[in-house]
Amino acid sequence: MSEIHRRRFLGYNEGGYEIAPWLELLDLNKWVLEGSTILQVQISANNSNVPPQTAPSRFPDPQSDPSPHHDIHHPMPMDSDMAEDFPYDTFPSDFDNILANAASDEKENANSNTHINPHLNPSEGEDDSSLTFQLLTNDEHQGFSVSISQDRVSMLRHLLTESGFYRLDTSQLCGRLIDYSDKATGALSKDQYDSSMRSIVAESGINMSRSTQQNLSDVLTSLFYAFDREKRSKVDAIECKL
Amino acid sequence: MNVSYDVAKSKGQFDIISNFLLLVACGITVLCGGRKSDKLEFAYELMDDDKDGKLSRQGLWRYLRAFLTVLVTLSSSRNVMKEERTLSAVDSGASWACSQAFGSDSNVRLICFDEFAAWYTNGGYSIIPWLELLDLRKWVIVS
Repeated sequence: MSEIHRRRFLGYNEGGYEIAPWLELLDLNKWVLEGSTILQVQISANNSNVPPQTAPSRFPDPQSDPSPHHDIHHPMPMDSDMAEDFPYDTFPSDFDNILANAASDEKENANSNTHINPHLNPSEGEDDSSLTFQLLTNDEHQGFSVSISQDRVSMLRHLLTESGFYRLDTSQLCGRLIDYSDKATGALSKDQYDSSMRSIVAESGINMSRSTQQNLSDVLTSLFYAFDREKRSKVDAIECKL
Repeated sequence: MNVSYDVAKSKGQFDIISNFLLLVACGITVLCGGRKSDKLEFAYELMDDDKDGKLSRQGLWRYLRAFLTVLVTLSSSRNVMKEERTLSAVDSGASWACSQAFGSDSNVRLICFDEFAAWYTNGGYSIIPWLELLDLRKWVIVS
């Protein structure tokens, strides 16, 4: 898409959809079906008391997406609320269980925090309430299933709400990281990273318990080192075999 | 001084941002509130080194791997990203998703956000369903 075309399209996103809502009809999936007959099209700008605040998203999030088509009855996958079905397996259970459970560590088993299995089925004995997502690969076993226990999800909920992270938007959080990075080199040391995270928590106005602080610190530290694979706080030309 | 990324960028600051900082900034957006689409678009722009609105195959791989790294790390109290097996899984998952997004035409070297979004909408969601987890309201902050 050329730049000028893109800008014109963005103009549509920024309010043009109110002028030409029929453009939404170019996507036949947004037509409301009843039985096998196309009966009507619902565009919320005409039906809702709350006018749209933002443009239709190219990655719609129907729970909050105020786009003109947020209340379509039969949305397609990208237009649908995947929250309703995501925690459950969306793949057929016809893959072989090739290798044993990766999470054989006793401590891990005790905590039941995660399982990363080289197959697409939840492991036997896995907590049914765990959130499981599929990580597809082109490996022989076709992928992995990653499970997150309800305890872990609950802990993350507590940390992100108590710390104030959840109230930040992407720009604020990334801006904070950049604020604390080395302006000359663009590098981000662990100390700078810690400082940026502390500054966020300090502004949250909530006094976290010591255990919460420790848990948050553990999570944030593990995130940093997850990227810092070589423990050098920098990434050289990343090896990418594509 | 605490300025947002947008403000800083508009002022021409922070011309130099290391790859490491980019990856951390991209991935850590998972922890924020806000919509999945906003996170995806913001991070896409962040990873777009030459600001042409497009990512190379490697760029898209890094972009997807950044999110995946955070999601897998959050999944456990152990530091699973220390484990070779997990590292390999994350790299392979991002690589597979990237190859699918670009399609079979090896001549395609770049992909813009709109094209990536279209790919996701038209079936990519079944290849990288974990992308839905960028919206915390769908699993962590459930009303």
